Amino acid sequence: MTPLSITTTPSTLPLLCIFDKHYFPTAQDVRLNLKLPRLNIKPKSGSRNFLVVSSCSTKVQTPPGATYKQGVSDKVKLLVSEFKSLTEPIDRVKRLLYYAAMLAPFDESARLPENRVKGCATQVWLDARIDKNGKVWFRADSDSEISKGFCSCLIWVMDGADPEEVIGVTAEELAELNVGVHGKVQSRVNTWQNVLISMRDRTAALVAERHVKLTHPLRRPPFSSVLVSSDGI
Amino acid sequence: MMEGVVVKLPSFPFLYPTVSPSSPNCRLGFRRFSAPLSAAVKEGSVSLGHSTRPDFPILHQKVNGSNLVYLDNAATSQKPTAVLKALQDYYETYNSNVHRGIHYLSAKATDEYELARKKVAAFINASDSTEIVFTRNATEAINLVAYSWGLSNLRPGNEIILSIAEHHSAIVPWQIVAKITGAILRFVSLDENEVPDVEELRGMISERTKLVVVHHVSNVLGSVLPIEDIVIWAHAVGAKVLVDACQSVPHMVVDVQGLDADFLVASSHKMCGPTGVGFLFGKSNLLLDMPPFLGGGEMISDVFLDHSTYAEPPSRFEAGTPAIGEAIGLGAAIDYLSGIGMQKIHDYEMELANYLYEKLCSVPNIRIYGPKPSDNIHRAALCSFNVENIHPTDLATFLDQQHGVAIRSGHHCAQPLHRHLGVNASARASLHFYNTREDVDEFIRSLDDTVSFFNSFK
Repeated sequence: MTPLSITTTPSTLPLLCIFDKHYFPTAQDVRLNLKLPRLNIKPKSGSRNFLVVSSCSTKVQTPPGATYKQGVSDKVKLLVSEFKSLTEPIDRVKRLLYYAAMLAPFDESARLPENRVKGCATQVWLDARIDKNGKVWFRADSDSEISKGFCSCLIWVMDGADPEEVIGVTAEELAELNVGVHGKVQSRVNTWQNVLISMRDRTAALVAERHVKLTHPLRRPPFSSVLVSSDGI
Repeated sequence: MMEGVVVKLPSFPFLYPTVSPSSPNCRLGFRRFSAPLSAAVKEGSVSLGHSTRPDFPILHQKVNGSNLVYLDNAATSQKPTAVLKALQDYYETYNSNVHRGIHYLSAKATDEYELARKKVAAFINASDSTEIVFTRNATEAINLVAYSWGLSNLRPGNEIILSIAEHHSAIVPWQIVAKITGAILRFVSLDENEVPDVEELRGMISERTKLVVVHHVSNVLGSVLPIEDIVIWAHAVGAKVLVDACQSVPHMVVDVQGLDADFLVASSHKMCGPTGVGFLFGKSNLLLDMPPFLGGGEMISDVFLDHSTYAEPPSRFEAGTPAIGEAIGLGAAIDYLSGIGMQKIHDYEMELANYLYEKLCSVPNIRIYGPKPSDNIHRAALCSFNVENIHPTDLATFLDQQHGVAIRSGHHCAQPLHRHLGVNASARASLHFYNTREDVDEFIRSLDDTVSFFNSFK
């Protein structure tokens, strides 16, 4: 795993370390102590070297020179290990809610029917753009805080990445994120899988639009709509 | 050979709610409503919930560290030991294919299977067991009527009347068949009490009406429709009535002769029976005229290469090897329910229904869908609701993960209804006779905790 450096700016909020298993307080404590601000986590243009992982300004910085080629799969591993370390299912729910608060505001002009993620029990909108360097950027929103949490995590993994890396992320790798859905149940409520598949499909579509040659074949054909397949749903 | 008992229940007259104007929202100062106490729920005695809980092994477990509180009975009910034993007994001692076999096991299996059919017939007071067709579930039963009766009886311009509160299984098959036949679907909306508007329905019935498809008890609104009246209005113009009784048969006395329904469907798994079996009740004269739905073995009389002749109902509509053990399990479930008494179950659940509604009203910013219970309006023991600014899926997830409380969130297979109500989804708590007041108390306590938790993030 790429070594990471952590810088912290002063904050009145308790520090969240991604390796801290038992950070999250109980519901009562949350009511009394925590008021999480919303943060815009979109990096400034040209800057690809840091990502915010917590609202208390703890920044995980990738060392200069590290490329996104390892970035996505490293981030997948980090995310999985973080959630795996939360042994109580309720702690995973709470962690998702925490990340939900960090999701960047969604541009209302993107709240279109074609941006709806199909197959989710909640409403999820996903906007995907490709920049002039060929990197993919995502924004998402949902009427459910837990779904927002999923989106926040997935965007953290894949925002600003190469399209090939996005398309290469599999549902199996993120199986540990099955918050609220025990084990590896394939169920209609598996929002995060639907969002992941949507992110991959939209990326493939954007790439096809720009006639970029993909080095990896798609697992599923582009523009496919609702997900009734055996492919990790 | 095992002796079986078929319990013939007396028909009970129905109380049909008269609609009284009141706001669908919960207001402050909600008046307490209690149905008259039956013997089972008198203070000091053990409630039906407490006395039956030991029969349901699945209820006694911990989920995510908390005791399970199962409040998703409208989705599926739990099964008493008697049903589990019947299933095990079938598979362990006399599993065999039915109807054609000569040997001992086959004869016993056939007897028990047909006895289960008789039990279903008696349970809903059908005049003959040949009016009961075993299907996979109520959805398949409705499809059977749609493809068999519908395709051979509907003509272009004929009208089918439904309510916007119907379950998808009562809407989609008719959309498909209407497209093929040129029939038109017409939908009744809700009145000011958030109940399907029976006056509007009455007004819609005309000489063009061929079928009225209507639920008995709504799985979202908790409302009960006056089926007897609807049948009278429909029959006056020569239209048939299909009753979706999935949420009524498990919870109250249902008498198909008293209702004079033409078709009635229900699922075993909602009435303490196993999954994989349900039934269609159809009046004999209707079933006799209906062509087959599925083709295959059992439903034939003679098969030639260029044509076949078909069996009489109900076999005509039971192609292939049926869910034999499961039908027998359904019979055992009916025995269990009859042993308690459906009127007793109904009375107890009415008490619980009112208690649940009252307690839910105490949750701040809650919106409960369906009618407010009153002396005239009875609600089923289920409440679909939303809490302002919190997605029902989030509520349900937290309730499950933190408190072991099982409720459902989503559209409950009633998207048109939710669209009408202006929401994408709702949460739903639904009770059965093995739930207790303590279950409701625990649910409300957990819901309060959940709402506080989510509000702390805002």
